[in-house]
Amino acid sequence: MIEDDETQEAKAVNAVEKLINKENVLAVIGPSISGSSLAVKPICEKAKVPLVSVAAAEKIVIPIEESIFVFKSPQIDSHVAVRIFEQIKKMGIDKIGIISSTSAFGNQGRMQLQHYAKEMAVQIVADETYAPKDTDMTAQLKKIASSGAGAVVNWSIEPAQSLVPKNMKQLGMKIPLFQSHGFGNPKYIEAAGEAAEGIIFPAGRLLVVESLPADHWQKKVLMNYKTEYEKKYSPPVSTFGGHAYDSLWLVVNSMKAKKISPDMDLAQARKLIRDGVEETKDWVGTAGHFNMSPKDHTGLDKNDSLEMLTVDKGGKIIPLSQKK
Amino acid sequence: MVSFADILQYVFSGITIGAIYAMVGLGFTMVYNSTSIINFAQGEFVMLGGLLGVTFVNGAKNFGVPAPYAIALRLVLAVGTTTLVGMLMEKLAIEPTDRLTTFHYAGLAIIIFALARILGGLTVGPALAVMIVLTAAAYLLLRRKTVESMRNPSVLQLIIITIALSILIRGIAMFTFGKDPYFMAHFVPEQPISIFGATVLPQTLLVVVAIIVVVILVGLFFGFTLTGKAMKACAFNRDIAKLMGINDRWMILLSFAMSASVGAVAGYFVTPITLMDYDRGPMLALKGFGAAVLGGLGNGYGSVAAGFILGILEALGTGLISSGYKDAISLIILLAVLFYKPSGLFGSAEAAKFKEF
Repeated sequence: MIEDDETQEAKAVNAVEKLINKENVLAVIGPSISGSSLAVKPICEKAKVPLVSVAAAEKIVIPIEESIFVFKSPQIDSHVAVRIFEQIKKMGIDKIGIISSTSAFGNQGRMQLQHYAKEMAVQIVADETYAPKDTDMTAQLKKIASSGAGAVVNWSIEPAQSLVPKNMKQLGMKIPLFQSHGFGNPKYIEAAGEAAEGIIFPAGRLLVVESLPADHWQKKVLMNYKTEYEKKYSPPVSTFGGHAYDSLWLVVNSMKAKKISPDMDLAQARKLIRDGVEETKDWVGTAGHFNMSPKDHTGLDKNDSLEMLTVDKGGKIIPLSQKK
Repeated sequence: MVSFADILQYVFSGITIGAIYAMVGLGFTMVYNSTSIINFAQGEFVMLGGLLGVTFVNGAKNFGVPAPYAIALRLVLAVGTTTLVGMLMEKLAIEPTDRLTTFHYAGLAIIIFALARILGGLTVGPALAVMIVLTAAAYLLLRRKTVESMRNPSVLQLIIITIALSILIRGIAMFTFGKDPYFMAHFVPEQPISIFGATVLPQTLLVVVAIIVVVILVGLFFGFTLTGKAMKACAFNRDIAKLMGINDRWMILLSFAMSASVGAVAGYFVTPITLMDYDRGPMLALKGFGAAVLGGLGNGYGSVAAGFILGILEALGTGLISSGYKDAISLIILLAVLFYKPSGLFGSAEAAKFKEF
């Protein structure tokens, strides 16, 4: 069963209600954005239906007592924030300006950045936002430029984030730009054009699978996914599709492990699938090694699941460590 | 401390944002002036202009059209196609609320035929038979109905139809163009121009020039041509205009065509700056509507000026107060103005009394 939530929270709620109550599904995969995932979380908890979200916000699976049936497969935003700060410190920058979208994804990211800034001793000197459909961010960026920030961190998942590097170029801002893992779509990089060069962002390794050494632990999984995907669809792979693949296999693997059969009681089958997903150990997906536990419903490690990437000349994405 | 260069930059940002609102506002005015309808599919025209423009860019590249001609050719094609969509929209959804013509029955027949073939899986012969029977039945049923109950739909009903159409157009665009953002190369060099420490893109200046040209053309049309004056007459009083021998349906069709082309021009020129995706319409329509109302509904120059005012207010709000409140700031000012002067900044209070909506 596939339902389209059109990335609208209300529609996601309707769709999930329909899937659970009318179609009697065993598990729900998705929704793909944080806002919708947070909106449908209580429904799945109440109905005791496993939900494996394809969205990023850590809040989807915390507090764990309220997320018994809820899992997620993408890297969590707090890991992304910490990785960005580690890189910022490494580059000797101690003042940053943040700019984020007002969607749930952007807002959660903004809160993570504020939270970890103190811990990492980085000062946020400007904190700007933009609406997901905005067409120009020069005013916000000018403010950041005048605030003495040594770097800009842009946290968003909408196409509008591609305007930030373009607007920075227009303003002649030379400070480095960091993006969240929400930038992991080659379309966004293409849309930003030349201005995208030099952007640093942490993301899964799917975008740089060709640059990985042949004996890398994740190379085979990623290469398989990429080949299969590009056989069927024309747009280039993005990390987002990989998350859906991970979520799907977490459920399928659990169904296999628990030997779910059609004549099983529905409530019991749902419970077993949930247990199976929670017991996932050392499984390699497109996001990294999944090690689920009753305390951790994402199961990803911050260094294992995220690679610092950068955009090289000509819009090619490469691991930051390989940049000359 | 906020410097002069900062303020100037905010104003330039505001002009970039406001130019789009101004164009959308102008499109609203055009349909409103001849029909009293607020066409909420106006944002969709902008989106179509942009997306079709990008499509034709790739097309022009494939056919090897030289660059300078290509820009103009694409403009004509993108605007032409969008105009056609606007006219079809009027013909297929607005006009049937007033009268049904052979055109509508022909359209209905084609739809029935297509459904019978695709969904019903019928061969050509039986599908034709089904088509003839159902179309004839529709004719017999609707012939009297249209005269009695559907005649003279209220303006509000028509506005709701335009909202439905905007959703339909958006859906079709999503399936045609996909959900990814589209981008287009700038028509002029991308090197920003620096003025007193603030920067502006040459493309933004081009958008402003495009607006000025459109405003002048529209002004000339309404002020100096017979057709333009006839359109204005339709807006004042449809019945009397009809008695004077003006073909009111033709005027309404024309107004939809014109507003669609103004929207498409806007979309075509701003896409290099803003990118474009299928979902941009509603937000643009909302802001453009704000501009049209602030400028005084029905006042073309007013809505253009108000578009820029809204854009600059938003940018100044972002820069001087907080980006989180920028939409709230511009909307509060919009409300305050309407509270104080309900006919808008540039609207006439006397004229507003005679307006249906």
